[in-house]
Amino acid sequence: RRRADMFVIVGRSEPLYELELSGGSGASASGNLDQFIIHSALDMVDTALLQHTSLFLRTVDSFGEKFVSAYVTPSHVKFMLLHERNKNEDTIKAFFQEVQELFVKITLNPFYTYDTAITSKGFDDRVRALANRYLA
Amino acid sequence: LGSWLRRLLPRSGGGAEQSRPEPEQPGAEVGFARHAREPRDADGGGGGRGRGGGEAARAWGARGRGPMAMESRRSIYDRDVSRPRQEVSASAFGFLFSEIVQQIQRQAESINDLEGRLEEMGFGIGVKVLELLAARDRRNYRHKHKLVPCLRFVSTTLWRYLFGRDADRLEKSSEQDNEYYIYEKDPLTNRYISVPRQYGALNCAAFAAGIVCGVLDASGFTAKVQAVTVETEPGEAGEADQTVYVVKFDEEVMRREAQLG
Repeated sequence: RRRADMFVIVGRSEPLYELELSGGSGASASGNLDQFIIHSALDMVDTALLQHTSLFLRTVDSFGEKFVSAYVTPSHVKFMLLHERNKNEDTIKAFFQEVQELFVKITLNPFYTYDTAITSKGFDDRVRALANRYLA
Repeated sequence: LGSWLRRLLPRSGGGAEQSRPEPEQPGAEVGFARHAREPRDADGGGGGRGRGGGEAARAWGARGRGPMAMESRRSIYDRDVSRPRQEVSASAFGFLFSEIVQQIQRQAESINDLEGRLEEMGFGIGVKVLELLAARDRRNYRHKHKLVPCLRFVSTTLWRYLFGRDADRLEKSSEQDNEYYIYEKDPLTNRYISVPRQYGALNCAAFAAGIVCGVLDASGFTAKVQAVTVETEPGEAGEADQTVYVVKFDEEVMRREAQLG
């Protein structure tokens, strides 16, 4: 049974980083659909932000069998994960927190301009490793 | 042969001196540098290749780092974000800031421009510091919905991190609804600066004002922050001029604040 997760980091106006984690067979046929689901969940993130003060917003939206969980950093950069129900919330939170650490490190880099696309291979490698550890 | 294996074998033949000195270099760079000295396609013999370490390094870099090099190469992602608080010497900061001001002074066209550039520099720092402080306090940090808690965060947590103490006072303006004041008697930025008379009311704490502005903006409270010099009354002996950071929030922020009640 194909399980396609997607992790996106969204800045003020555009996505900064995208990671597709398809488990199982083949490429995700619904590639664009995943992005669309996440994009339309952005409004729900903003709504949830107004109601909660914690960084981890848990599940903010759902589409069919898929769920979108969100985590917002203090400077309002949104981490969003598209996943299926069978994920433990604490696991997701731990994943987000570890990515946040990586995010802080790249933000502190003077050669990285804040709110721009993240192209560092080191970052990508480590996020993939985290995804394998927490979300596989 | 892998370059690491080649190192174990005696250097064969070839011209007189293939002796490439391998100085001991401390630190994580060792692995990388050593590999750089032995380009993959090097013939052991055949002298006169004359490839210095630099050239080899560049050739290596062009080919991309091999797996061996990656192990010993530390990246920014390996550093620990939550290291215990380290103190920076005030004089080190003084020297650095002095150079910053001099550099900007050469480029700036007016006093306002000078202050503006200092603020701009601080702004970038503010955004980064906000992320850093929150990441270190991950369990307790909460988003700020209203501006007073955010200002309090600025005048306590942020101030303690940057300057080792809280700001002196945080006040709301009695005349303007969207104005708040942060008082500071002896800003670290100004400690080693003496402003000549022709610069008028220049206040280099514009740098700190920029940091405040960055933190507020990143938290969702866009504002203009200006460092203003408040001159002491003549006669108040021994009192240095005070600095007041005037925080003026945008309309959008005030509207949201009113909506939240």
